[in-house]
Amino acid sequence: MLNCGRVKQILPSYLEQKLDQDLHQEIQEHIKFCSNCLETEQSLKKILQWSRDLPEEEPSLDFTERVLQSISPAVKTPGKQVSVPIFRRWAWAVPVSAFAILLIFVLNYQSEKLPSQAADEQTAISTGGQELSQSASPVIVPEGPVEFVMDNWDHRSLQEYGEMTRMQRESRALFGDNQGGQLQSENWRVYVMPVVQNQMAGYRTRRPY
Amino acid sequence: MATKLMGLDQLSDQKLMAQLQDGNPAALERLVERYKSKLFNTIYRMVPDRETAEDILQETFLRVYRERRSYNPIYCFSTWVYTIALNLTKNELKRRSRWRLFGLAPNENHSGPTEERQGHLNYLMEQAISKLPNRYRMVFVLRDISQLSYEEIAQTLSIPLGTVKSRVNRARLMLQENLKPKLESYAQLWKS
Repeated sequence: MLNCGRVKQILPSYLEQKLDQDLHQEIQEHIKFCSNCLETEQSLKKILQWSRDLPEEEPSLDFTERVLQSISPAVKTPGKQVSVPIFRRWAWAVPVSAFAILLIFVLNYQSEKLPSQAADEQTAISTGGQELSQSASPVIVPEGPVEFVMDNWDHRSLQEYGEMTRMQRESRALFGDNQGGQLQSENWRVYVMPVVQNQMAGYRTRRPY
Repeated sequence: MATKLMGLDQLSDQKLMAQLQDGNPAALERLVERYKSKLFNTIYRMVPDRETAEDILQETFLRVYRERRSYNPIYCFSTWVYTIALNLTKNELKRRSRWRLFGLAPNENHSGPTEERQGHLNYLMEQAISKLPNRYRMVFVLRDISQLSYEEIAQTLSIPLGTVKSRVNRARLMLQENLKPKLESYAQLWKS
């Protein structure tokens, strides 16, 4: 037994008489007793009729001539062929201008970066009178907080460092400024390490370059 | 020339295409005369703008001429030409939907409502058809306005036959739902 939903679905095919005999009869029976489906059937019939009765539209009278003209290169006119709207005519300008803007930004960035790089190369960091780098090897100066780290730091070095600072303090006291030698050792390397301050925990961690 | 054209009139579409492939442009003229009304009617129902519909139709015949060598005479010419026209129409519809996205919807110059009863009904029908989603409108126009068979529609749009049938059914029901309230108020108005 068909319900109204199913009948409604197959009504268009029913009107075209494309259904098999049994189904066709079943729908016929249903429509006899169901006013809703009968109404749908009636309005569908009208719609199909109206769609067939819609007026025939014709292209302009000189259409064939225009087609023939457009295929013969001898008579080809530079005038209107297929009208291209202005948005399409200038469609190429969008990626080109985007690329140009990008290029300007990149060049601008490069020109800003170059003098600072040159300055970086000439900068040398000295700690306690010791020059860490020569102009041959550029020194990268990190942004943000840094820590001075001593390499090869062991117990012996600690003692040596303590001894030297003590000697320096004493020599300063005895002979005045910078007379007691410099704080340097063959074993030590002092370098700058960027650090990250952990805002929550409060501790600092070294981060690699 | 007239007798030659008379002779061409008797030829089937396939034979006219063979003539065109042999370099006889008069064959194209015959084909244009045969198909321009049917195709224009179909395109115009899809893209309700006379000028654009004519441009699409002209481009269709230009492609027929340009691609004449690729036409295989074992296939039906009408299916081939409808496929070209509908592909161009689909491209135009896609372009329009993009425009609509940016608020640049092109004007659609359907005839306005008229005093005459049939004229008003046509207007209501055209409005309802233009509101159908593209995929349903296309099969509805091909089936109920251009009167193509289900098989031809399936070949032209390269979709399964069952899909064509279900889309046609769905399109008709959508139209019926859309038109029902308008027709009721219209009938009351007409009676009064």
